[in-house]
Amino acid sequence: MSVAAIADKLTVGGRLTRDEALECYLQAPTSLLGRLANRARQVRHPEGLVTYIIDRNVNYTNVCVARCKFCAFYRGVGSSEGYTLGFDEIFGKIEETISLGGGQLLLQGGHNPDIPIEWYEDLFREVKIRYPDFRLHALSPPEVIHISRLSQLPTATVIARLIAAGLDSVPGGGAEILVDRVRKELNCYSKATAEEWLGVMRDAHEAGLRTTATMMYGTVETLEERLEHLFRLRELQDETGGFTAFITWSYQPEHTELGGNEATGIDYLRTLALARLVLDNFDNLQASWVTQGGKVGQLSLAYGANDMGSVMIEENVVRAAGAEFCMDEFEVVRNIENAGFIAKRRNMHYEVLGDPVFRQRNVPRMRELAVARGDGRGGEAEDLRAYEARSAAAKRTRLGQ
Amino acid sequence: MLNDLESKAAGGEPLSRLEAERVLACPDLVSVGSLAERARSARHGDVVTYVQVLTVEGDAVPADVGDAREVRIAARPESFDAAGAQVGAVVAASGTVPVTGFSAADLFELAGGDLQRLAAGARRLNDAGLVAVAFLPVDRLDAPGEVVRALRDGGLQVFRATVDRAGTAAERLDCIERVAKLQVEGFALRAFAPLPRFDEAEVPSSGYDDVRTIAVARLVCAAVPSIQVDWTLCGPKLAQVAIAYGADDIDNVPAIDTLGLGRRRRPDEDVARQIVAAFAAPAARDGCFERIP
Ligand code: SF4
Repeated sequence: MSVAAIADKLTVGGRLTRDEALECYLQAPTSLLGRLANRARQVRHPEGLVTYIIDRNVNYTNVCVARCKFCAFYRGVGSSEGYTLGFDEIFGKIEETISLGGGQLLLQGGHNPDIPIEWYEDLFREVKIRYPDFRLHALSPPEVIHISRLSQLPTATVIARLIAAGLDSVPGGGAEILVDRVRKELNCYSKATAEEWLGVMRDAHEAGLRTTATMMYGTVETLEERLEHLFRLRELQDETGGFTAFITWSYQPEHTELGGNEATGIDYLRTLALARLVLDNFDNLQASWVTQGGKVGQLSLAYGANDMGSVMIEENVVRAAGAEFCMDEFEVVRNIENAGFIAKRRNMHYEVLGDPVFRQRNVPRMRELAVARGDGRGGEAEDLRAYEARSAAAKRTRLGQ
Repeated sequence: MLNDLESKAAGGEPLSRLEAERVLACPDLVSVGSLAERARSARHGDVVTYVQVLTVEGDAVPADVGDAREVRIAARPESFDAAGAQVGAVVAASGTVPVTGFSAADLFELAGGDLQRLAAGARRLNDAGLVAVAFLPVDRLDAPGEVVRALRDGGLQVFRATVDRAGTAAERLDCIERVAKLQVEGFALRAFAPLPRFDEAEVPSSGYDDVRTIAVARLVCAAVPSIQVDWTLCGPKLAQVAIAYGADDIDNVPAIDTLGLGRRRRPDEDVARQIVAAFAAPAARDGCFERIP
């Protein structure tokens, strides 16, 4: 089918096939892709709102046994730069988040063999006791799988136990590209195959949780594989309806084993636009200003995005790979309004919470994103000593040797 | 929304102020881009040029010009004597690479606002080896045409117009119109860089502001051959996206790979990769706007 015929089909609400999506990506001018994606966004969000969330990306540990080739964040077991945050450090971050008008942590970390499921349960329970309204958007599918392997429990049981402890929703991290050839090449197949990643999301949706979906593109995948990823998400969404949003970003190559070049800004806008067209059963698409910068991040709103994502407050993972952009609530709102939209705060379920916090009370400006530990210290927090370690290095530390 | 302007864009006819205001206010950003892209490709086909620049700050003299095709002195000189001395040293260090430098507005101030003194100062700089003035900030000059004439009388080229500060859309459009007028008056500029070089720290310009400015510059300054975007100032991503909004010349690509990330990330290779990924054909040029074979 020609691009013009595909455009006509989309205009009357038709669904893209894999072949048509590929044809669009290869042949359609960026302006046409943008126009079609913008129209699709308008149909879903005719009221002209662009939302954002005030939350904080907390990476509770950087110790990881997965060793993905694209990751600049992890440290091996026993590394002096490896850290695991303590409960008090996490509570401090929650309090700071609340003071900035936030109501959620996005809590993710490495696959640390020395953190058992009980640690997560105790943490979640304690958070809910101390901050009953605070939400925990935590543990991407590969982390759930890691916990399931450590505890020798099925993923559905892990999810049920974490929900009982206070888990509110699951972030869509670790998806990278949901094609096993790519995952093997990136050394992330063993942390979760494509089927396993989708399986955890299915379990989470069946358990009543809402989740997000992500895609990190621009490593070793072909265009067909990038599209395959989108179609696999669309199929699961048809089945469960559990995804609230889709977020895509380009691979950040600095300080990674894989190296290479970063995908370009135009590639980002085209990929985003195509995602809006393929993922016709997703309500929300986020702009990734943290990888694209504020300006191209804002332009996302013309190429299918209807959400500016998170104010973040803290970020450790893409910063480790060379991307260092910061936008506080004031900046996020300014960019939304400058693009001609109405800015509204939301929660993870994309329910509108209200107008910007800084218009209601004084909020300090945030000039740079915080990091996991301001002083850059490694090491695990004292309170982990109450939990069983698996690695020899952690066993020694916990025994004080 | 902007369909009625398409034939003007494709035919290289400049937009009027009213039409430009419509484009600036158009909520459909993608249509703005496609209009400007049409104007760009009507003029340049799919070619996008770029120049590698070594910028010299303060009174420094470069030890190594790397892959520079232009050495640009971005200093505010104390006097014409000091500027001439610096130019001589930089030219000696730059070999055959054209040396440009200084802001026309700064030189005009140095000349006490006197056009004859400006021409004499320009002559001294040209004698020292300066080829062209680097910046012509149209927002800082009441009569930019007179300043250009005086500089050229002194032997210096003025290839391009620039903007130092223009916070609002109206201010940016004023600058764009001034450049369009200069060109119509016969000043034969080669390029215009419409994005302000100095942003407001508290309220920086947005991505929408920047690409709209690029697009309107392309559509209003129909007689100016090239619309420039600064690689270093904007960053590779926005600079590349600007091609889809009418930019056809990427200025200020670093001449030295300061990141030291190896051959795959050399600035000239990276800019060429970005241009190709924007569906255009890269062509290197030098500081005098001559294509490098
Ligand atoms: S991406 Fe996650 S799982 Fe992979 S190495 Fe990094 S921290 Fe570990």
